[in-house]
Amino acid sequence: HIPASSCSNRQQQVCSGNRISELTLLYLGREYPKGGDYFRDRLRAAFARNKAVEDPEQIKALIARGEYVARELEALYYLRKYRAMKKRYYED
Amino acid sequence: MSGRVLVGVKRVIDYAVKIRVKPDNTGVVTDGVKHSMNPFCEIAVEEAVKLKEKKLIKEVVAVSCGPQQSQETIRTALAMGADRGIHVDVSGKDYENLGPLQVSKILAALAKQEDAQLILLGKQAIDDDCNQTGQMTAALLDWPQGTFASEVSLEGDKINLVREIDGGLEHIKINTPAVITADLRLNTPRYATLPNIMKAKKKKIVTVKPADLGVDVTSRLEVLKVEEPPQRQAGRV
Repeated sequence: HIPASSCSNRQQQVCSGNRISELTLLYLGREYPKGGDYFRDRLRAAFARNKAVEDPEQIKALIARGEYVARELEALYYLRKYRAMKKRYYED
Repeated sequence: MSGRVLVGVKRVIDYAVKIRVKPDNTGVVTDGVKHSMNPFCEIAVEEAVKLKEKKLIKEVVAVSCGPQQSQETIRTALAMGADRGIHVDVSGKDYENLGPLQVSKILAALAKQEDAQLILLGKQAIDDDCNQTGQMTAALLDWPQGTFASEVSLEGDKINLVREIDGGLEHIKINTPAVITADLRLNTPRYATLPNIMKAKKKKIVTVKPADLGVDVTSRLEVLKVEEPPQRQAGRV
């Protein structure tokens, strides 16, 4: 995470955007089946790996991938819950 | 018509937690145990928010009865799109004994106070599995009820509803105001994402006491014993 003081205005926008998507994913990852800690460590590593990326197209693609992961997690959590409710309350 | 919907949301032990009975058999262990919104209540909130997004209703008010922590459950509803919350503060022994009859009385009082057009609830809570609150609330208000709803559509001042019943689906049409209880297949609840949780912090939650609503929460029921189900024996062929 690049400190705000050393960012240009454009970079600052990107920095805060990245931070928001990192925090959103961190929040979503708390209930990850292999553990919130496991998820958090891998999330941090992934964001750190791509810290130096400057190309706006690449950044857009990375953010899109982050959003994809977020949707996948939501689907995972929903399916687990739905299947549990279906199993407990419905005879099919 | 006010265009206002009350949604009841209950804070329950999370569905994925392994329940443990207290050693003295008076109840289950809740201290330090993960709690979350009852899954059927999530479906009710989602339906209310969808109705608002379709501009069929104007305001979604989330209600929860319980101790201070019930406000977290209301916050989740606000993050999903409810406009404001009402926390009916019930704690200690009163909370331990709080059941569908008392909650129905509270919801009925709130429905009158807030001039609600619709009350949306989950069909049952996954902790007590009573499946009574919706029905009792409708009876207390003398409103029609659409329980186990798997499809809801508003048509003028009436509601078309599909109910999941044994052996199939029942199509009914009821007047408003009405009480609807949500079944599993009604919709897919949205996840309360972090940005939405942050935005929801600006939304208001008002705390009231049952006495303010003229409701006596004394229970007529006494829990005698809570025990684990018998261990399953291995089958024999």
